[in-house]
Amino acid sequence: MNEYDVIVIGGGSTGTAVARDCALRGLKTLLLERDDIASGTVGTCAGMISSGLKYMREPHIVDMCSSEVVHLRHIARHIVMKNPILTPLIEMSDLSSGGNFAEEYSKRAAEREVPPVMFLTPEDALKIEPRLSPDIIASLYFEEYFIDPFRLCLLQALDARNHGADIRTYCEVTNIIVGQGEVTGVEFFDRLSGSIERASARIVVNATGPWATRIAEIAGVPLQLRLNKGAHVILDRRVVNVGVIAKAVDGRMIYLFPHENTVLLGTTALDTWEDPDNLTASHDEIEYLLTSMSWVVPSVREARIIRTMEGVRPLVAQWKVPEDDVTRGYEVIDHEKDGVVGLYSFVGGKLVMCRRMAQTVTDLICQRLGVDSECLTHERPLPGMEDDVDVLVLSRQYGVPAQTVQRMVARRGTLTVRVLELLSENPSWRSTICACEPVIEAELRYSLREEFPQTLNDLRRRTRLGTGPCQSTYCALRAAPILAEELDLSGREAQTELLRYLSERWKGKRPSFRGDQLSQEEIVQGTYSCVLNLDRMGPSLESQPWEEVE
Amino acid sequence: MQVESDVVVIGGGMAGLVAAAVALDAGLSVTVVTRGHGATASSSGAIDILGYLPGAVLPVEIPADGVHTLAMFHPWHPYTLIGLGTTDAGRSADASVAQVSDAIDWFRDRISSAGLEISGSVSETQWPVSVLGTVKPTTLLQSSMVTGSMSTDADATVLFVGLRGLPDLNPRAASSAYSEWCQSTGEGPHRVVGTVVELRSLSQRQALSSIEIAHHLDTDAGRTELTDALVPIVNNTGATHVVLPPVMGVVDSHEARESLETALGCRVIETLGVPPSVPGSRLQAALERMVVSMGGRLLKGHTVQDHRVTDGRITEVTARSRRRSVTVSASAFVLATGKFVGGGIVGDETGLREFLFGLPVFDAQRYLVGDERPSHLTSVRSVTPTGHRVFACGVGTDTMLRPVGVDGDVVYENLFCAGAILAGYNYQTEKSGLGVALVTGHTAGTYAARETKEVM
Repeated sequence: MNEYDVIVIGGGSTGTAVARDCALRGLKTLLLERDDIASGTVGTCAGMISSGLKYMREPHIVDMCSSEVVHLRHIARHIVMKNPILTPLIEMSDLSSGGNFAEEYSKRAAEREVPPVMFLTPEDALKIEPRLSPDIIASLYFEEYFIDPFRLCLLQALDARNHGADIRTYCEVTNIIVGQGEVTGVEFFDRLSGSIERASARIVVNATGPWATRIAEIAGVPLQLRLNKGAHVILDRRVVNVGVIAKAVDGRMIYLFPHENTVLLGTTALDTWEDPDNLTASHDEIEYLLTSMSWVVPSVREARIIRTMEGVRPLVAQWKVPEDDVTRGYEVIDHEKDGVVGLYSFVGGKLVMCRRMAQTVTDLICQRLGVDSECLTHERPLPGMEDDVDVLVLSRQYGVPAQTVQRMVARRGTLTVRVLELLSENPSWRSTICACEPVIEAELRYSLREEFPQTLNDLRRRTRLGTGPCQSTYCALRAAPILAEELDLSGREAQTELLRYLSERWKGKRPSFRGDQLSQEEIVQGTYSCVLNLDRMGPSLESQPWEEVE
Repeated sequence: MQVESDVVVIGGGMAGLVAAAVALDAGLSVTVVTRGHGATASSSGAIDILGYLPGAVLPVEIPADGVHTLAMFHPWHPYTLIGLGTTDAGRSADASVAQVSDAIDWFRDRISSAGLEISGSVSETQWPVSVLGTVKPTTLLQSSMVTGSMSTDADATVLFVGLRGLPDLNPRAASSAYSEWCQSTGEGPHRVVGTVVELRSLSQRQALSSIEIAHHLDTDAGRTELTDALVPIVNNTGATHVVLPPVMGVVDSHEARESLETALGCRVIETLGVPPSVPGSRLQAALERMVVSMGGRLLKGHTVQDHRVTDGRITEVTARSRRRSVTVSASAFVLATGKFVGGGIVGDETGLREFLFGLPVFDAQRYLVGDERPSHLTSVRSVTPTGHRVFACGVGTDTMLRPVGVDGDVVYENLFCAGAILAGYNYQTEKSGLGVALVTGHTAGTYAARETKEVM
């Protein structure tokens, strides 16, 4: 049996941050994720590492968010982007709440290197974003930072691995072994090989977000979460070029953020009892978002909805208050109080706090294990951050369009060079596989060799393959053979993978299926069913044991 | 601008252009109003009549028999309807087969005059290869796609060729999928190999597309370059069949194929096209040449915006382009605007509707689905043998292909529908897309011509 100091369950933002922190402090660490890195809640967020202003009632959280932004920019500047945001006001009542907001934000603006909040006239606001409604009476202007959530998790995992941690994806924990009130290890099912394995450790960290109650159940300890569903609608174009935050029909704040070649419209917030594995956005959620945003950006309905994206917030279990009033802080629960020593669970928290959350639990772990070691996660850079990259020089040197290089640099920083170096041996890997984003073959090959993806969907998280307006219509059939070649899959296995991937994409396209998307989907069906005949010749997709039957 | 015409066809894909050519054949004047390229230009370039019966697992071996069975059991399928339009129910299945067969014979002849060689017949299913190395049942093929003995000859050596820089066909993946298929059927070649060759003069190009390569292979220099690269590999492997991506010339696949085969001494086959498809564009171009050479008038880039109705008959339509507005009056009209890609059927969160005339939309079983939210007409998995119900939805017609209203009565006496706008079939899972377009285009054109002559 493999022996570790710490076993972390969950490969989201928190789990990968914990694995990294533990590894950097010299603890022998195993991370188990039952799907892929960032395949759960974090993969469905907009990536805003918010200054915490939605939570003005909790000043210590606003402070923490602000300092975490500074840390993330210090360790992962290459995947962090600063975006301007407009909050157009349509009525005077919007203005009064805007006032407090501006004051709180501006207090902490300097440390984050952003200007204080500005009030703009309608004319100035429309100059910045002409798509705003001409009916606005004023607008706030401020700036927030965004991080690529997939890359953050993956880089944390890679950094942990570089420091000796073992990262195992597609491994589902089936049992937490407790002997005489102390954790001794876990049992897990390897979905790829189908085998059951065990690993031992005195510490187990439950960083499974909305699934935390399930893991607690396995260990026989109580845990409560207030699960809250949030849905996004993703549009096929940059309807706006700056972020827009506006009041929704019910007075909540929602946003429209430009994101790569698309825009994200989100989010809803609904208490949910659904299985977080089988979420879809409802018609009501889609219409709520579109109707609310069309008040300030009327053209939002002209764009094609390419898909919805939904996740579950694992909120701290505070009841009988509106979702907005639940604390956005986090708690680390030491299950010693429940009679299980060595088991820790996270509840609550936000993306921006993931590093801090990891630090808190790792401090507790070190204390319990008697290890004297300082947290380094806010000082050490994540892979690829070592230096600035000159996009134009690389573009010329390797004969790859600057835009392609620029996109790659935003994912990989200095490691971009390693991707481009593959071109010296394989010049044809310049081919654009995904034209929407764009992604070239060399990046897919590099990712397949260095970043342990197992499926096309994993490759999508690592490279943005197939996330653009066409949603994999044209690139899936080109990417599948590359995956098959690198992972040594048979023709049949590659077809299964392709069908699985198309179904996975379809899940998000289906709730908002309308308008021009009907035509886009006819092309998908025309290609994969009609021409490639995969509906008939392809393997029939059997549900996996862990999947819910339709 | 005001124009007169005997017949007006709305839609310039397979169905519309065939209908136009049939009416031209009958000596009438025809105007085709077309917005732009639709599904035909993006198609594989093969003309599927019927590959699978709805609900069946095994492919149709003889398309004529397949159509016959279909016409017996699927009353709302367009193939069934057109049979019923010519004879009584007892013999209508035979009539359907006869109409399919007639349309094919007519088409092979006309499109050949326009410079595109088509081979195949209703008596045999053909199995062309795709870029992934999968195969599909079809009926008519551009001669460049005919696999001939490849799928049955155990002694054949098949060489899948990838072109460096073109990611559409990965020879390793395609050859392993094809060879696994041969093994599973117990037929076909035992030796399937793959290789990648480079077209030197294109090697410096970024993001090479199949269209660029096809243009290159329309030139002697391009073909020489490809054969030079292939000769040693063909000699080494002893390949009897070379499979290329769908790039065998934009205009003329025949000439490219002959020149490659002569130089290599083996069969050269191109795969089915995937969008953006060279063979699909080739077919589209040939169809347009066909209509223009017969004297038809093509109004490209025009969208029909308005129409006038007198006594239950359409008398004129008004089409608009960027620069002008044209009103065309006619005695008969053909509606061949396609489904979603073509723009014939549109849908939002409140339901589906026919775009130009607001005709009601039905599903394959003739249930009204106009008020259904499109997502409710889909299933959970993306690609399955049953497909999605939404793609079998469209306009319902009588047996003369005239659209009907919610009451089942004909809406306009002189409007005939053809192609993907029709309800009653899912071309993606049946493999019947261009086939239904061809056959119903042929039928609608015939009715439109007859209607015009009766008025005259």
